[in-house]
Amino acid sequence: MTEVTDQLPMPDDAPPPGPPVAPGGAAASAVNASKVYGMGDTEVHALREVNVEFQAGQFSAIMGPSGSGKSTLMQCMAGLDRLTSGEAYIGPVALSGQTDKNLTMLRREKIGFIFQAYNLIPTLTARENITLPLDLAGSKGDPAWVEEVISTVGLTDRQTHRPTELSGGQQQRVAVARALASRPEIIFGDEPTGNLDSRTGAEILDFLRRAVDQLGQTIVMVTHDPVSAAYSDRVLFLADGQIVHEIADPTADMVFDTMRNLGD
Amino acid sequence: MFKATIKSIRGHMGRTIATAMAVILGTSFLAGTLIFTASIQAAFDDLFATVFETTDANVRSAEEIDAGFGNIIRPRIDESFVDEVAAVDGVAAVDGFVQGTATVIGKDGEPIGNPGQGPPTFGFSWTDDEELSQFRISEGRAPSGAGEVVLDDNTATTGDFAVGDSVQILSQAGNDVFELVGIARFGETGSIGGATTALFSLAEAQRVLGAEGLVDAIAVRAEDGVSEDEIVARIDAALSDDVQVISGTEATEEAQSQIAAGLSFFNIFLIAFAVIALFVSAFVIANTFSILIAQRTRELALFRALGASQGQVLGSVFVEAVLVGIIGSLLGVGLGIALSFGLRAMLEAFGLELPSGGLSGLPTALIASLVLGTFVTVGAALFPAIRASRITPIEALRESSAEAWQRNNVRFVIGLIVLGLGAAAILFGLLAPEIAFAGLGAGLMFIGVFVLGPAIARPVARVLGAPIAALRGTTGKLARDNSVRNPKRTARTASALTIGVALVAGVTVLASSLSASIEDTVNDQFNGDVVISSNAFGPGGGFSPELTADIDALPETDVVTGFRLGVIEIEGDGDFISVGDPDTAFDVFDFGLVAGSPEDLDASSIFFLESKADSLGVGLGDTVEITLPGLAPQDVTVAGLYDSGAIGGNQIISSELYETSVAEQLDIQAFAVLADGVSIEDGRAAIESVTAGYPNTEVQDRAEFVEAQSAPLDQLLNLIYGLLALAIIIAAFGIANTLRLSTIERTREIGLLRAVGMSRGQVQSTIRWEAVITAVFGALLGVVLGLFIGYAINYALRDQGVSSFSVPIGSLLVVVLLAALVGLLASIVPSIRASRLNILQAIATE
Repeated sequence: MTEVTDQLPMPDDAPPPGPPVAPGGAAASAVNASKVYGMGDTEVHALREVNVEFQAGQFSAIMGPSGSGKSTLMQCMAGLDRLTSGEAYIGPVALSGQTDKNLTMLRREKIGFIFQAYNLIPTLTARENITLPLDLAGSKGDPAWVEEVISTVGLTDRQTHRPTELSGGQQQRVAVARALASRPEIIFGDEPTGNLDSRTGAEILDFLRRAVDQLGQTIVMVTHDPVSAAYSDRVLFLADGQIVHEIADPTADMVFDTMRNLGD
Repeated sequence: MFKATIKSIRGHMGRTIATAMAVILGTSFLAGTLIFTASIQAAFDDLFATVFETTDANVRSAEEIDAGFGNIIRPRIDESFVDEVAAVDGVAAVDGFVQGTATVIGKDGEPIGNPGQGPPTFGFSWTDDEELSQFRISEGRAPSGAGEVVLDDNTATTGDFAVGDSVQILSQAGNDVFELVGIARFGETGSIGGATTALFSLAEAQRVLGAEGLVDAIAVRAEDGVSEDEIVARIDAALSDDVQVISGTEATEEAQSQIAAGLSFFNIFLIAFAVIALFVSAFVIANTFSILIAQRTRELALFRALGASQGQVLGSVFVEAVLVGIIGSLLGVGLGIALSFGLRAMLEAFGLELPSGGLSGLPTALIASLVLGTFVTVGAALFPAIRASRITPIEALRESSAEAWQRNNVRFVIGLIVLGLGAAAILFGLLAPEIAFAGLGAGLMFIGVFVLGPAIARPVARVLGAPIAALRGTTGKLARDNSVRNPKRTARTASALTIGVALVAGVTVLASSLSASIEDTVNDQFNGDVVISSNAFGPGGGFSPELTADIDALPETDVVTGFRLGVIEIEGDGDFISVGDPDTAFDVFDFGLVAGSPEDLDASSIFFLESKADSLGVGLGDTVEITLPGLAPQDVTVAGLYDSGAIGGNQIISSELYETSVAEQLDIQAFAVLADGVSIEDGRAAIESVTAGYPNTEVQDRAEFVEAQSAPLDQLLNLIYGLLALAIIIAAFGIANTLRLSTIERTREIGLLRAVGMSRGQVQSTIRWEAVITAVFGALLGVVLGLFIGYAINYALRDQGVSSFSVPIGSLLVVVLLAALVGLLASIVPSIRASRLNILQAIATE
């Protein structure tokens, strides 16, 4: 049942379909990515020919008003949804045309997820939740690393607790630890602090920041909060399915100003 | 509110159909049973109406012996009555006829048809009067002299016989060869309801069927213008009181009501299974409704918040239940029609040939199924509905649909009490004996287990899941945790299977104990080496005593004793009787004589089983009045008592006494003790050389015979398994239903698992193992209950020779494994559905 593959599933016949743009060593990238929902009159263009690269070891934030396509971009790049046209890559691997099985392996081994809420399986303990992707792969992972992650997020004495016995912040820390445990190439966060109060949220964001700085992790986070975005190295602004602006080394004020300007 | 209900049903067509499925299956069996038995009754009615169509009156002996189970034996009457009847004014034609058993042997040396298990093999006297007989010569001519026979068309075709051939026929007179002088058809058809018929001239029939100077009855046709009643009155006035005259109409009705009595037993047997199926359905329906309502709590609360009253909420669930009940029942009747054909095929596969005809009993089946199906559905939905209507809107909006379960001690105690009451009722019912009480007790026990279920489910499922969690890794662990997280649901889902498995296990334990008891007894009490059996089960079959004598004459045999089975009336009550030869029977069998000695069994005495003597209130030396076929009541002495009924039955008389009656003298079995120094192989070979001329016999050594004693039981067991399979199928639908609803409830969780890397296969595996844990939990509970029920019945029967209690561990293990398989099958559709969920939508589900 559980197929353990050492190698990432690679398409048999390279180069992949779409424009022959080789992703230049990015952890993840999108080329001419378009996503259309519905047909005819009800057609909605969630993404229009988006080109973007997320470099390894970088903490990126994606911002934009609701309906701007920021969540769609993240979902398509994470292999949870398929593009209508264009291509998304995780490392060198093109996602279009992959079987469900290959995408599952990819998510299990190369991608980490942190959702806004309901990140955890209620029947599993904190520790079991953290090692879930490893367990699903039937691998032990790197036990020393797992211990390190658990202690770094401060859950050493909460390992055997079930999600209902943890606070919202603790639950989110479990989710972060899970995303880190398998040392994925990239972690996608969908408003990971959206459900938390600002202090707890800051704790989580601090932790994500350290994961990037100290552990070399790559993180892409969707958010609507300028303060959260300020923790990142680079903020991308989406509107109407297109990247309209980008700032490096943001502060909350810069982000806020940009948002106001774009809003005009 | 009503509109909302309809919308709700339409909006969840899938789950509505799933709920209806339980109703459909439950009612289909009821409808199928009713249609099936009514159709058979109608077919038999038609058959008899045809048989007696042209008979105006029937003259026969005034005596009858009713041994129960439709075995009515009426003695033959003297043939001088034929002329007396013919002389009555207004009689146009008479036919004094003889009928009995005559088995036609095919050219391959095997009996045609399936004597003993299939339709009867008749021997008849031929009637020339065309209006008194349905038989018409289609080829050749009617039988007229000794050594001549006419066969029915079907038998001739099956046996590939042509006019002029020699035909070997087994009868009481032995094994004779006849010349086939003609072939006859019965009415429109080739034979009487699948039976084989050999027709002889009256004199030859009297010789072959052991009725010298006698006839079974006299059929009378009246002259034109003389009514049935008129001719009956005239004959009655002319004849002595030893004979009885009934009209053709009465004869038809009598035959029809005899069949109806036989069928009613069968009908009750089948309806018992239909009730079981409905009972199991009720559990499935109740469970499905309670989950549906739990999931709809928010929706219902919204209605309440918007101003719907408790009554309206209750009403909406009620309306949904009524609709599901009616639609399910209607579809159930449709399926029942198909099932009635299935039942026929199944019984025919077990060797019961039935006459065919159109469908009958549809209105009864429709009404019964509709009323019961709707009633059960509404009843099952009522409790969850009441619970739903009591929830305040705020509670409901707060509550998550996955209900948390807390152990409730009051509930636990109530469960124990109900369970105990049930056990007590079963024991009382069996010992009293009051079968209704036993049935009620079984029902109470199931309800007790149902109440206790949630408390038991958590620890048991945890233990059951442990090896799966250990072996299957994360998927196994998730499966176990899912089966433990809502023990109430797990227990309820399993309960339907528990009932089915409990019945299967109970029947298995009982059958195994009965087999063991029979084998023990036969082993202890049978001293012979070789057994010669006819394949007949009861009176009216067997082989000629000539064969027994021939075997006795062999140098290889020391003692040979033949056994007959007949009917007798003792102090006015009919019963079966064993007939043996006192000179030899006691050497071969140990009847457990407690009073009297073998030589006391003679032409004027009877031996009783102790318990039978007690119930008659007679002891050694007393006299009892008995009536044998064709004889006046006579007094015989109770000359012996024995304590084992396994071989001798309730009473034994000597063959000397039995041969004075007009009953067919056929040995049903013969038992041989071999001479000293003769090996079993040699003795058996010698006996087989003699029995070769009697194709309806089978020669068995001791071990084979002992084993064969429980063979009829195995056949019955298979039939019961077949009928209980339906309850198991309904339970499987219940499991599938719950899984489907549970996975809907866990949509977001499944989405999350998929997002972090669970493959479709792993999702399926999780649900599959959850189903297996649930099913095995239900099965284990069922086995425990079944063991108790089996033991209780066994205990109740301990005085009736059921001495052993045997637990067939292997069979019970197979039952549990099969239950696991049922769980596996039930999980297929829900697991595939869950694994195909769109991840994004699943995560977004609230």
